[in-house]
Amino acid sequence: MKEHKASPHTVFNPAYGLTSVTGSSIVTNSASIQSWNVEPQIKWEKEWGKANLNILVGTTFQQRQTSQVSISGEGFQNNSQILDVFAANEITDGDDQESKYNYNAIFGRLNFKWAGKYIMNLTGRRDGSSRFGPGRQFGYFGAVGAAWIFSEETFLENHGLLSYGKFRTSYGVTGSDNIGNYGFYNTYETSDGNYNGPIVLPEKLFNPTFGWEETRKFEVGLELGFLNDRVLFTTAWYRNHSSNQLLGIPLPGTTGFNSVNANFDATVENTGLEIDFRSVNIKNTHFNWTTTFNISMPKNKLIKFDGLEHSIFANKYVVGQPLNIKKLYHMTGVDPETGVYQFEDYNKNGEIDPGDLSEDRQWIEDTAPKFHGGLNNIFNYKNLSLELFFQFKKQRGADVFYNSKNPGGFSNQHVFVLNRWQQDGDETSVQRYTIGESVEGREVMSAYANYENSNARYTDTSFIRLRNVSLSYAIPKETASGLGVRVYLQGQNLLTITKSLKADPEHSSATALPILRHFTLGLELSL
Amino acid sequence: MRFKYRDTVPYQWFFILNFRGCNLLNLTILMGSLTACTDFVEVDLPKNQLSAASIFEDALVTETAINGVYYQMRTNGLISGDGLSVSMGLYTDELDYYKLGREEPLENYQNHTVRSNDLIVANLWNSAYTQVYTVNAILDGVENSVNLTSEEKDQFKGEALFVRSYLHLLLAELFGDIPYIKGIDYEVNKAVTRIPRVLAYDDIIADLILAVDLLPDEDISEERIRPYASVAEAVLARAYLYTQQWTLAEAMADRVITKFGALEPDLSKVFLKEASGTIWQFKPNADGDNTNEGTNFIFTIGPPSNIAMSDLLFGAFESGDLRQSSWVKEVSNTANTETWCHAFKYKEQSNTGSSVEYSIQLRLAEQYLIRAESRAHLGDISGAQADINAVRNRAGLDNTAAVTLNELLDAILQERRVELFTEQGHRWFDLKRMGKATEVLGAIKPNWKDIHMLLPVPDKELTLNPNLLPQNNGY
Repeated sequence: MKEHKASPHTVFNPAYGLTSVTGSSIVTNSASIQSWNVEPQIKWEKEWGKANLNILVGTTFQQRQTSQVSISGEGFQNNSQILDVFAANEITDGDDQESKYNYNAIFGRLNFKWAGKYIMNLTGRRDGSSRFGPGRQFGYFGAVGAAWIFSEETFLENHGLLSYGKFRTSYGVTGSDNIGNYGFYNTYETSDGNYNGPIVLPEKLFNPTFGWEETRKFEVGLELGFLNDRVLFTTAWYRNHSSNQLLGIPLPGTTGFNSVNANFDATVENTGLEIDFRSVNIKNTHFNWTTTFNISMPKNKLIKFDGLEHSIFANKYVVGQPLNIKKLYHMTGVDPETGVYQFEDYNKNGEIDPGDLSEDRQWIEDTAPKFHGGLNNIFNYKNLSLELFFQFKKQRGADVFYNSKNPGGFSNQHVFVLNRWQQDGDETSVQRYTIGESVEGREVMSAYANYENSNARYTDTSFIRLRNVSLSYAIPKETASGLGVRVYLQGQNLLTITKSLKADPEHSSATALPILRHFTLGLELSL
Repeated sequence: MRFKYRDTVPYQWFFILNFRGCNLLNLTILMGSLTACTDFVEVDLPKNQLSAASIFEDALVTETAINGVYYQMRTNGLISGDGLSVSMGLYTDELDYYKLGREEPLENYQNHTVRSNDLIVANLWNSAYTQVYTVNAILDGVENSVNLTSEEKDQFKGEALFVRSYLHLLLAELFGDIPYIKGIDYEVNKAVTRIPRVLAYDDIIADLILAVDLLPDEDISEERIRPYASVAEAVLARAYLYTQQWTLAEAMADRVITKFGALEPDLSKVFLKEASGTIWQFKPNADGDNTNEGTNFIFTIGPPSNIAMSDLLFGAFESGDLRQSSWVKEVSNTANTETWCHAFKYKEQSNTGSSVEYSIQLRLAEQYLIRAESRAHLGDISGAQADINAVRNRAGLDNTAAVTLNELLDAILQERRVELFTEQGHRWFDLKRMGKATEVLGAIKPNWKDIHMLLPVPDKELTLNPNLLPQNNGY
């Protein structure tokens, strides 16, 4: 891929008096990715009476190489030369990078079926990745699974209501090498800086010993079909434990850097329940009505973290709590006498301690969604079709003041700021105006700084949204002389039900442009 | 600006061999092809990355690594010109801060409201230890090098040891008890403890003595931009002075003075890049660049938007002191009704086509004042007077009238104040060392407390490494 960004001097204000020699510049960039993947497999299958055995052995070789060269130039005799970076008076910046990733795996799978209703599955694999140092490249992983198609059992045969039933469960360990290439090497990088010539600097702390990150997965599932599968219901519950995560572990400055790549000895649990439902409510010659519904309830939790209180994460995580929590000040209101936000002094030392690690930040707010999902209804009547899709999400999040300024600050603000404290005795939820000047103003300002990190900014940002409505009509072929003609009207983001004051409850920022409401009128022709 | 990498997948090969009912032979062929896979998942470094080992097999490349630390020190941290010269100038009585109204970190230095979560403290600490890592990595790499000659190894080791000891000296003066980092193993360095200041000085002095021994006598850079023996000697003289080892301090300063001779007589030439009294200086990034000090201190119209010299410092010059006219500049507002002044040692605020000023780290005048102070303590009154006078006379002032030890020490403190102002925090170290901090700063800083003799260790450091506890008193 090749690209460039040319900035002739004419893009600037003529008042600057630039010419192509002083003001024109170009950045060129050429990048390529080459990847290949070879995956030979051998499969063996055998049946003895009711038994069926299926064995698969295979290997994967995968390579991914990327390279990028970028060159910047400034100053051209004439703007007509601007696309030739080497015509520039000065080459101002250049960069030449390449990166290679190799991956290799051997794997085997054994699948055993009995009478078409009892299923056993065993898999094992050895994964190798070039992202790990000597002796650490390979990891061994495997899984075991079982399923029972109970609708095949004789006692359920010819059951009028239940047409399909399957119970499944599995347990396994998978590996991840999700960390940058070459991380285990002790390297120097050339810097943009200069000291009597070019310089090189140590790139990072090196750790040649990190290896595969492991996740233990357990899952149970149930699949049911009723009334000849007109009603389908599937549900699954999973629990994953991730340990030894690959990440940059924070270190004190005395090490020379602020982190090192390593396997992190903490365990995170992800659990969740997922339900899918599909029903053909009405089905006859001219009219069909189908409903689909899905909901997921994901949850995560930190279950082990030794030495958390002595780590940089002390202000961020709590064992037993989700990872998305925020530790905040607890705002108790606006003092009717001073007009300044008040906070709970958790450590009872007589002041609200500042800083990320403040002991007064004990209020826990979980910003992960509790559940989310969608409901879709499709109605077909002859050639006319109507589709309605609702989306919903239950969550808490930062409300309108997020990304905003202090009351009294010079910026656009929500109108509720007008309801501020103004005189002794005012009972209100917004503190007095300040621009932070003067000693007193700075105190009001620092109360605002605490407010920004307080629970007061978090509210219920749940919503139900009519995401999509589409009405279409297919003109019968006879009428359209054999052509396929479809006319449709589509509306997106038509209705949002929420308590949140934000422009868009889905967006973390209160002031970002919300999803736009779209209407589309279309005509589709096909031969 | 630079384009970010975009993802495209130009081509891909993919095939699956699918055998039904294969025999044992096929399987062995497949397994045979897998034995090569250990090699397959070992990749070499790409061309734009250098392995640490390869750096130290070539003297020219090793030079780019040692120059890396001078780049780091010039750009960020203690002696960068944005570092102690500014923060400690405000902390003492040299500078005033004008960027009021918002929570500016430097304001805490002016007001003595520095707390343990202060961003500047964190940067001073972290940048210093980053630079210490850089030189420790050089010591480690040079030690294990096969190709470097022993003279080359000595040169690089001497420079690295000098940098390591000088950074620790400054840290010890700011924070008191500090960890002395001698290696690159992060498992060790993440759990270090603080050693008492006096023991840190044992390490500092031992490293400096070794550096003096290893470094060449003459400056090989020709611009005094890399350390040579006199550079380490100059800091060693200071280390002896700070630890009150007067005989050794006198001898070491004497060695430097003997080599350099008399002070540059022309005050206007003292801060030029070719100044004769410069022992060590930092070369700017590109030809035409000048110093961070010039950029920070100079302003052309009042009122100042950032920092200005304090009235106290301006008033501290004796009448007739040529340094007041040569190294200080008065600036008025547009209406010409009010004036302020700024340090004007460096005259260039920005690019000059060809660089005229480098950021000077060690000057001969300091060595005269170190020798004067040591001689005063050793009872050599006339020797002390002669050294004070060397500095005074150059500034157009008469000989000192100080005779007793106390008079001489007061004269030296005064002379250091007007000679070394806004240079790497000298004023702060001098007030502390001579026991005058409470007397001088207590009178002008309403928030002054005795605990301000030390800065707080960054709170994040204490959280990440509880072995660094306890925090300095009062923070």
